[in-house]
Amino acid sequence: MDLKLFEARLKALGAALDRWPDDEAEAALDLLTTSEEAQDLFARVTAEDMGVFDEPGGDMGALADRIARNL
Amino acid sequence: MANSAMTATGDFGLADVRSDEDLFLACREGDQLAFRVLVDRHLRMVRRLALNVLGDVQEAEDAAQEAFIAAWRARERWTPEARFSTWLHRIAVNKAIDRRRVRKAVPESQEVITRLADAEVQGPAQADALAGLERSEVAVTLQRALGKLPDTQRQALTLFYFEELEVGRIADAMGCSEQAVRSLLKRGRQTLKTRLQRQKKICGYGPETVRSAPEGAGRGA
Repeated sequence: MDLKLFEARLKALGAALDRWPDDEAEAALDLLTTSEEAQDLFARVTAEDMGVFDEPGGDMGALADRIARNL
Repeated sequence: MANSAMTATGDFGLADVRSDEDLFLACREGDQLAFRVLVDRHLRMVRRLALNVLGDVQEAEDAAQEAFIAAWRARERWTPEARFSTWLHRIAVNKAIDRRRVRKAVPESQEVITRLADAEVQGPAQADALAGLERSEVAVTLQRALGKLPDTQRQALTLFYFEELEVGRIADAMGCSEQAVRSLLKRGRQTLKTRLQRQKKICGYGPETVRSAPEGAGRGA
């Protein structure tokens, strides 16, 4: 999978890879492993999805505290 | 990072007007409060990135934690020319992919490597006592396959599965990048898997005979 196809599949399927066909998800992961451009695109689409679909609330405090304790 | 002020839940990120980059520069001076602001600002996004890769909330939160801890530990290497969020997101994606690869590797090659590790740790006599001749044959076959791997792949697999080092530590030990280590692990697993599948009948391994992976194997990679 190249970056162009990855972008097209992201637009069609969204950024949640568990909703992708297995073979395409694996190909996407291979690309993400090696391409920072793909990683940046993945992050951008994820951010866009969050803006559209996510509820504004949700407490991340417990997880943030856990991270702080483990630094 | 013991500080009562850090138990607040997300207000830091909104209240602090400093840029991410300024905050992370402060982190380089050891300012953990500044890092907490960054965690509050970016945790939701990092968790979602990991969730998109892993499809599991608990694993995504573990990967998010790993990503922030990795960022904290790598703060000396970060340069202000790189946008902090872009750098952090790449770390998060890599951590999530590593977790997914390890999860996938368990029913495939890790079980095979684990058996080899078991046999090596227990020694031939004890392995015989536990599992009979078949187990020794498995150990010999896997040892042979491992021995035929290129040196760098064998070293990476050994440090990852047997020594249970994190990818970052392996990169330090081998004098290469984390990305290079991940590539070596991937290629090594694939090569082992291919070679061992050819000898599956000789090995006689199957899900019912495979012990669980050693606790912590592959952790943090």
